[in-house]
Amino acid sequence: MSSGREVLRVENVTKRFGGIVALDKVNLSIREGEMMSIIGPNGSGKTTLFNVINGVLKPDEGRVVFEGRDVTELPPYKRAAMGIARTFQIPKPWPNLSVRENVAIGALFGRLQGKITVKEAIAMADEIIEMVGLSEKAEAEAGKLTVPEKKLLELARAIAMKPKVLLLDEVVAGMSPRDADKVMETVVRVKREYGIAVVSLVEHVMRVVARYAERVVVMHQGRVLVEGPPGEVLRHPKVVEVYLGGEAI
Amino acid sequence: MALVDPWTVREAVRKSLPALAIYAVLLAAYFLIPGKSQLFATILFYALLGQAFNIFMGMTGYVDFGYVAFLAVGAYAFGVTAMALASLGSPGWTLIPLGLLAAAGAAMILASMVGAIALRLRGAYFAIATIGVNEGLRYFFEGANILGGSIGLYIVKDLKTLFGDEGYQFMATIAADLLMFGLAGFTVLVTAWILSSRMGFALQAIREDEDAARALGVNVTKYKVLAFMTSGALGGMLGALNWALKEGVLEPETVFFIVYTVEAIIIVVLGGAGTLLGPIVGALIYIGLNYVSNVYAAPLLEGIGIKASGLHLILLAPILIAFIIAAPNGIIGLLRERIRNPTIRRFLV
Repeated sequence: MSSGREVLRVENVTKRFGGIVALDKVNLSIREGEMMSIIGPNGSGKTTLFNVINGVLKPDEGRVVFEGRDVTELPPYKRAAMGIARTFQIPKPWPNLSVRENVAIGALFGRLQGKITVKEAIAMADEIIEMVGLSEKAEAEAGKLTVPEKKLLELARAIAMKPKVLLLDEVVAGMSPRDADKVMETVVRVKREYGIAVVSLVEHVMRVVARYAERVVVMHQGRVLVEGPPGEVLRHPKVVEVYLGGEAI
Repeated sequence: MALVDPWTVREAVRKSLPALAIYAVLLAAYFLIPGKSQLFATILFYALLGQAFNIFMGMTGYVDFGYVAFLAVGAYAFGVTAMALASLGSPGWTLIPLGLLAAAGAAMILASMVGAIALRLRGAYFAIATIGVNEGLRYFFEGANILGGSIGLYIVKDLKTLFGDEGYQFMATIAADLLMFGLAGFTVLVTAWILSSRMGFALQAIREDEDAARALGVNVTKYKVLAFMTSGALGGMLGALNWALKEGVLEPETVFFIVYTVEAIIIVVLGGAGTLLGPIVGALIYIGLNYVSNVYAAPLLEGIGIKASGLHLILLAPILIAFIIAAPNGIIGLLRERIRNPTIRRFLV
C-alpha cells in the first residue's frame, strides 16, 4: 500500500441523467503512487465517475479536488494540463497521424504544456513508444494498429502527458492474458518511475485486479459498495453477490 | 517559446520549399509565356484561395460554406481604405499596407463573430450555420444599402487619384498579380509554420478526434478560433488584391459568389486536405482541367454538333469525381500512401 500524500479526492459526488442516479454520493481518495482499481458490473457508474474526474461531465452535487485545488468547474483540457490523463475504453487514437505524432501531442499538451518544444516532444515520444514496446510501429498510422496496440498507444500518449493521476478505462479488456500482463507491467513500471497514481477501471478481468491493484473499490448502482485490499474485497460476500447474483450465496 | 524554437523554424523552412518552388515556376511562366499571363494569374488566385481555406478546413476538418464572405469583407475594407486615402490626398503607396491591414482586420473581426457562435457547433451543423453567414451578409449589404448596396462600389476613380492614370494601369495589372504572388509566398510560410508548431499538432488532433483532443489537454476552442481567424485574414487580403485592387469593382453578386467557396472545397479535397502542397496541386489540376475542357474539349464537341451552355462543366464534373474516388485523401495523400522513398516523402508536405 502506498502511503504518499493525497493527489485526488472525490467528495460526495452525485450525477443524475434524468431520473437515473448514475453516481450517488461517491467519495474517493487517491494517493501519490497508488495503484487503485475500480471494479463493478456494467452500469455501476465507473465510466461516469471517470468522466466527472476528467471533466467531461460536471457533477450535480459534490466536488473534485486535485492537489488541494477544487477543479469541479474546470474543462477537461485544463485538468489534463494540470496532470490528469486518461485512456478511453474504446481507444480514440488520432487515426491518420503516426504513432509518434499521437504520443508527441500528448507530450505537447500535457503537464509540460508550454514548457516543451516540438522537437523535445518528439524525442520524448520516441522514448515512451520504446518503453511500451511500440517502436516498430512508430511511423505507422495509428488507425491501422490492432486493438491491443491501440491500447498501448493510448497508454503511451497518456504517459507522455507526465500526469500525476493516470485514469485507465478498461485498458486490458479483450486482451490475451499475456498482452494484459505486458500492459500492466508497463503501467507498474511507469507508476514506480514517476510516482503516478493509477486508477484503472476493470469490469471483468479479476485476475489482473488481484495481481496488480493495491486497493480495490467496488461500485454498484452508483455507490461505493466495498473498498480495501484486493484479497479481502474480492472475497467479500457483498461483492460476490453483486457479480454472481443474490442466489449464488 | 514556440515562436522562436529553432527546430520549428527549420522545419517550417524545409516544408515550405517545394511549395515556394511551384510558385516560382508559376511566376516565371507568368512573365515568360506570352499571352498566357492571366491563365497563370487565375491558377495563382485559386491556389491562394485553396491555401487560405485549407488552414481552417483542411487542418480542422470543419467545412465553412460561408468562406467567400472573408474575401468579400476584405475587398470592401480595402475599397473603403482606398476611398478614404484618396479623399485625404495620401500618397498612393500607403494604400497597399493600410488597405491590406484593413482587409485582414475586417476579415478577422468577421471570423471572431462567426466563430464565437458557429464554432460551438460540430461537423455538419457548423457547415449549415455558415451557409447562412455568406448569403445573409450579402443580402444585408444589398438590403440595407451599405457601401453601394446591390450596385456595389466602383473604386477605379479613387485608385486613379492615388496612383495617377499610368500608375493605376501598372497597379491593376502587374503589381496586383505580383502582390498576390507575395501573399502566396507568405501563406506558404504561415501554413508551414503552423504545421511545424504546436498549433499544427493541436489542429490535427481536433480534426482526427475532437473529444480525444480535449481530454488530452488541447484547448480546442482557442485553436479552432485561431485557425479560423488566420484563414479568414488571408482570405480577406486575397479578396482585397483580387477584386478591389485588380478589378476596381466590388459588386455583392461577385464578391459574395458562393461558387468560390465550393471551388475552394474542391481544390482542397482534390489536392489533399491539411497538406501544404495539396491546395496548390489541387488548383493546378482544377484550373488545368477547366482550361482544357473549356478551350479544347468543348469546342471539339461543338464541332461535331453537340452544343450546350456550360458544356465544359459537364465534361469537368465526371473527371473531378474520378479523381476523388481514386484519391480520397487527395493527390498528396495518395502520393504519401504510395511512395515509400524517404527522400521523396520529405517533399510531400
